[in-house]
Amino acid sequence: MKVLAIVLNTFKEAVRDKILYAILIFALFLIGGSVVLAALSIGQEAKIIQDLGLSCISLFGTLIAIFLGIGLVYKEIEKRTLYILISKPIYRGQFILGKYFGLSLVLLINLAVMGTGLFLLSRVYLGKWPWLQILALAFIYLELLVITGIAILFSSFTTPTLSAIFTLSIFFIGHLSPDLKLFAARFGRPSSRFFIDFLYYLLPNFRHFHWESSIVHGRPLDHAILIQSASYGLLYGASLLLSAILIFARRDLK
Amino acid sequence: MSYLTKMKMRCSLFFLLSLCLIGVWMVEWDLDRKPKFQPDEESSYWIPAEWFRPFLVGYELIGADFLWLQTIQYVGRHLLTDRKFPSLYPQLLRVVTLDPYFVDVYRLGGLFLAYTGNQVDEAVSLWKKGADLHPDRWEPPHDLGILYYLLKKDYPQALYWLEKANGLPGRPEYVSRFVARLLASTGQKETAIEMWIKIYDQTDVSWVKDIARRELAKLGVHLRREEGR
Amino acid sequence: MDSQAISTKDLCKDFRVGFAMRKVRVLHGLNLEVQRGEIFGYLGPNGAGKTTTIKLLMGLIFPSSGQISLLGEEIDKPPVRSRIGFLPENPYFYDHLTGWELMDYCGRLLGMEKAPRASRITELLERVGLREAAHTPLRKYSKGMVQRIGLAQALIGHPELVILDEPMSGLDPIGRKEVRDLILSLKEEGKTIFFSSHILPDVEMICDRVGILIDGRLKEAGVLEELLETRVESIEITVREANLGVLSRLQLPLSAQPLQRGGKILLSVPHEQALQDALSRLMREGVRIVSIVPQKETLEEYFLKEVQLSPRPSGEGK
Repeated sequence: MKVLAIVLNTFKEAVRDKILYAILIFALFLIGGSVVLAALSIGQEAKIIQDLGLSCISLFGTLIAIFLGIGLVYKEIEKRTLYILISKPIYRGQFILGKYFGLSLVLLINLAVMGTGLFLLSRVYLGKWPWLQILALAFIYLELLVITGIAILFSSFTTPTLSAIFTLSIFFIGHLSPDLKLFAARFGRPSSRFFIDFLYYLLPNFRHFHWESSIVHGRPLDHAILIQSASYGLLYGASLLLSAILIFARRDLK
Repeated sequence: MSYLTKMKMRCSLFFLLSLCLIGVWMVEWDLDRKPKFQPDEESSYWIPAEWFRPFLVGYELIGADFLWLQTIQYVGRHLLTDRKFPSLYPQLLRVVTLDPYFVDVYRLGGLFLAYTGNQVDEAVSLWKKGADLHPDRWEPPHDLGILYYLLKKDYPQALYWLEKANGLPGRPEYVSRFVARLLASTGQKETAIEMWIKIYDQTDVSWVKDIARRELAKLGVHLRREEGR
Repeated sequence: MDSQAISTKDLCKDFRVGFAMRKVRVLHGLNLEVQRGEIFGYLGPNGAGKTTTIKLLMGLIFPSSGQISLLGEEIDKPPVRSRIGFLPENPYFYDHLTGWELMDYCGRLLGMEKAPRASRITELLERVGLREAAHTPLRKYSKGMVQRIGLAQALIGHPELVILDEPMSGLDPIGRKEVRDLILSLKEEGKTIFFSSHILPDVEMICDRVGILIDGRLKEAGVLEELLETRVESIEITVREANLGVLSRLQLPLSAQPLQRGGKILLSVPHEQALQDALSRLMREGVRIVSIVPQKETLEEYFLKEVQLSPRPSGEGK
C-alpha cells in the first residue's frame, strides 16, 4: 500500500510534465505521417507504416524513459521532498520501487496510446487485425522497463546530466552488443577479448527485445526464444532495481 | 517612457527586422543562382550498410525502409532520364543487409536488375542471397529459375531452381508444368512423363488436362484414363 | 519503557569535502539525551551541526560512529518512524499536490486506513488553520502556510516524538507565536518535542531544556533555569524622588553608574549582599524604592558568550 502511494504520486507528477505531451503528440504525428512516406513505396505501405510506427513508439518511449527517469530520484533529493518520505516508516527500497513502477505506469499508458493509433492504422492497410503487433509492443515495453531501470540506477547516485550521458551510452552500446562480441572474437589478444566479453555480459543486450522484423514480415516465432528473451528482460530489470536499492540504501541524503 | 516613444521604438525594431529578412532572402536567392558543388550522387550509394548499421541502434527496419524508398526514387529518376542504373545493385544490397526478411526487395529488385537494368549476374546474386535467407519462400528460387530459363538459356540451372520452388508451399500452379517441360528438354524423359501424369491426375481443370495429354503425346505416351491405364 | 525519547552515544559524523575527498568531522562524540514529555531546544550557530544531528536522528544520513536510539529503539528500523513526526528546515513539498493530497499521501505512507486518515487530516488542517486552503495547490501557499502544512504532516500519525528543524524560520511574529502555542499544546498532549532554532527568545519562552552545540560539540545541556540561574549578573534597583547627588553621598555598593530615566533612577548592585546593604542605606535616607529586579544573563547573552569562547575553525559543514 505504501509502494502504491508512491507509485500514484510519481504517476501524478510525471503526467504533469509537459515534455511528456510534447513527445507523445510528436510521436502520434509521426505515426500518422508515416502514411505519406509509405505512399512513396510500391506496395509496401503496410510494412513501412508498421516499421515506422513501432520504431517511433520505441524511440519516443526511450526518450520519455530517459528524460523522466534521470530526474526521478535526483529531483526528490534536490527539492528535499525526499526528507518527508524517508522520515515516514518506509524502507528506502520501497521508495525506489514506487518511483520505478510509477514511471513504468506512465510508459505503459503512453505505449498504449501510441500502440492503439498504430494498431488501427495498420488494420486499415493490412486489411486484418495485426494481433502480433501487441507482442512487438510488449517487447518494446520490456526494453523501456530496462532503460528506466538504468536511468533510475544512475539517478540514485548522480546528477541528471551524468545520468543522461550514462543511460544514453548504455542504450547505444546495448544495441551494438552482438557486433561487440563479434569484434572481440576477431581480435587475437585474450585480454581485449576478455574485456569486451565482460562488457557484453555486463551491459544489456537490447537486441533480445527487437522482434519487429519477424512480426512485420510474418515470420514464424520461436516460443522458447521469446520466453527466454522476456525472462532476460525481467531478470536484468530486477537486477538494476536491486542495485539501485542497494546503492540508495546507504546513501547520505545531504 | 511616453507612448509615442514606445511606438517609435517598436516601429524601428520592426523596420530593422524587415531589413534583415529581406537581406536574408536576397542573399539566399543569389546563392541559389550560383553554381554549387554537387557531390557525386552515385558514389554515396556504394557505402555498405555495415558501416552505418551501428548508428541505427536497433532501428535497422526503418533504415531499410528509408533506403528502399530512396532506391525507388533512384530508379524512377533514371527511368525518366538515361535509363542506366549503375548503383542499383549496391542499393538493393544495403536494404537487404539491414532487413534480410524484406522479400519484396529481392523480387522487385531482382526483376528490375535482370529485365530492365540488364544486370543479370547481379540479379542472380541478389536472388541467391534471398534463396539462402528464405529457404521456406518459393519466390527466390522461382524467379531464379525463370531468369535462367529466359535470359541465360541455362536449362539445367533453370530446372534445378524451379524444382526447388516446386517443393515449397504457396508456389503458383504453373511451376510444376514448367518443371515437367524442363525435365523433358534436359533429357530426363521418364521423370518428365511421371510428372505430366501426376499433373493430369491432380487437376480438375480441363485445359490443364489437355496440356498434360498433349505433352505426354509429345513424349510418346498416349493417356487412356477411361481404359484404366 | 525507556524514559528517553532521544539518546545518542558518542555520535560522530564525518563528511568528505573537496576534490581530494578530505575527511572533515562535523560532529564530535555527541552524547545527547532528551527525556520524554519535554520540549528540548537545540541551539547553535550556523555550521554547528544542528541539522546534521537532526538528519542523523531521522536516518537521512548515517553516523560514522556511535549509536542513536529514538523512543528506546534503533533508528535503522523504519517502523519506529511511525511514532515520530518530522519537519525539515525550509520544507518543500510537491507542487502538483494540494494541501489535502499531501496530507493524504503522508497518511498512506504511515499505513493509515482511509476513514481515520480523512478525519485526522480534517482535524489537523483545522488545527493549523489551513482548512480553507486544503484544496489549493501547494505551489500557491505562502511561506507561513507551507510551514503550517509541514507541521500538520508531521503530526498526522499521532507521533510521540516530534522533531522540528528551525520551525520558526521565516515566519512573522504572529506565525512564530502560533508555532510556539502549537508546540506547547503538543507538550500538554504528552508528546516530546525536539527542535532546533536560531530564535533564542522563542526557545527561552517554551523550552524545558536546551542543548548548545558549537562546532559539533555539545557545550551545555540542561534545564534552562538552571543554566541561567547561577549566572545572576546584577540586581537592578529602581528608585524615585531622589537625586544623583544624594545617592552618591550614600556610597552605595554599585556595580555600575546610576542611570537616570525620567523621574526614576536605576541602580545596579553586584550581588545579594550588596543589595541588602544598598537597601538599608536607601531606606534610612527615605528614598522611594519602586522595584528590585535580578538581572539574569539572558539566553542570548549566555549563548553569545559560549560561542565567543569557542574557537571557530572555518569550512565545517552544517
